[in-house]
Amino acid sequence: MRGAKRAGMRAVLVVPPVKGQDHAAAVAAAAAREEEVPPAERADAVVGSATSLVEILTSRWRWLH
Amino acid sequence: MAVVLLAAPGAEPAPPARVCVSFDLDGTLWPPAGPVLVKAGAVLRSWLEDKHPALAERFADDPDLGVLMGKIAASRPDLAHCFTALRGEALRQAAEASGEPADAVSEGGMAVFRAARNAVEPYPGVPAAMASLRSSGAAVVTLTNGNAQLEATPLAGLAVAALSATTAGAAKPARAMFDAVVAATGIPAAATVHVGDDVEADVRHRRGPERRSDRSRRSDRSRRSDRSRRSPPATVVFLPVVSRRCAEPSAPGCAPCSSCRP
Repeated sequence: MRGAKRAGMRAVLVVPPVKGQDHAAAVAAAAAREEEVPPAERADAVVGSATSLVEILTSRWRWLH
Repeated sequence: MAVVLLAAPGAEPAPPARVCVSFDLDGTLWPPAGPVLVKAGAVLRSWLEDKHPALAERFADDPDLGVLMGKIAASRPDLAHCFTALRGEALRQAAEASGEPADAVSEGGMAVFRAARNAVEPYPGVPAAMASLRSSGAAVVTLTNGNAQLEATPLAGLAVAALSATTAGAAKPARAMFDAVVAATGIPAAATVHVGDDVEADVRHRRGPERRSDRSRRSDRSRRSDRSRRSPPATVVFLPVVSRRCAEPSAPGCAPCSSCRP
């Protein structure tokens, strides 16, 4: 994420599922860790699946229609 | 699934004219590479035992040549970023040490290994999501430090460019990797979003606190080998935080928070 951010890109951190682990909690924990990162290096979003990019780009950031 | 928004509404600038989405591969579009790499190493070992038994016998203590690859990486910094080059060179050196034809061993072994390496199974919904992004006008590319070949996987044809440490001549978090995305698409970095699962691999400069977190992330990585194949939930948490409150309290699936509650 930091490399992309320093290159001037937006960055989305994916937290894949781990067997036996509460996935939603893992995503929330990763987001909490990101909040400790300086804003310029922080991921712009934390998701549980790369498939969420469709929603992010269309409904949230409105980069796509 | 719950959607937790942390950004204030109305903070987004005007959308860019052209958009690029850059996806990491292992752990992002399909499960982490650990199990498939182990399987590919075993396939390579079986091939060596069958086709080049003298080499297999000589390197019985290093069955997938991983130790030799590490030694080559230490002595050849020009190859250290590229697992494919390291494995090819390891096969070559092992063949020469065993009196086997180096080119045949290297080319044949790499073909066998890569066929097994590319036998990945994307996470559910990933092919459709990539196709949807493309049909919406986004330039979809992939960017990996690994050695999977996108066009030899079930995601073939879904990206306009498949970039790797091999093609870029560097590995993430090197700036060259991300510059390669911009160069491949012609879309500026400001209109590009990179999507990946490994903060550590993308951290450019390590500092004290990050080193501490590295240890826990390595633990996370080891646990990833046991990831399930179930469909990941579409949990989305938006950063950065302008104020910790829900941006769209009435949005479908919005988790109740302090802004939502009456």
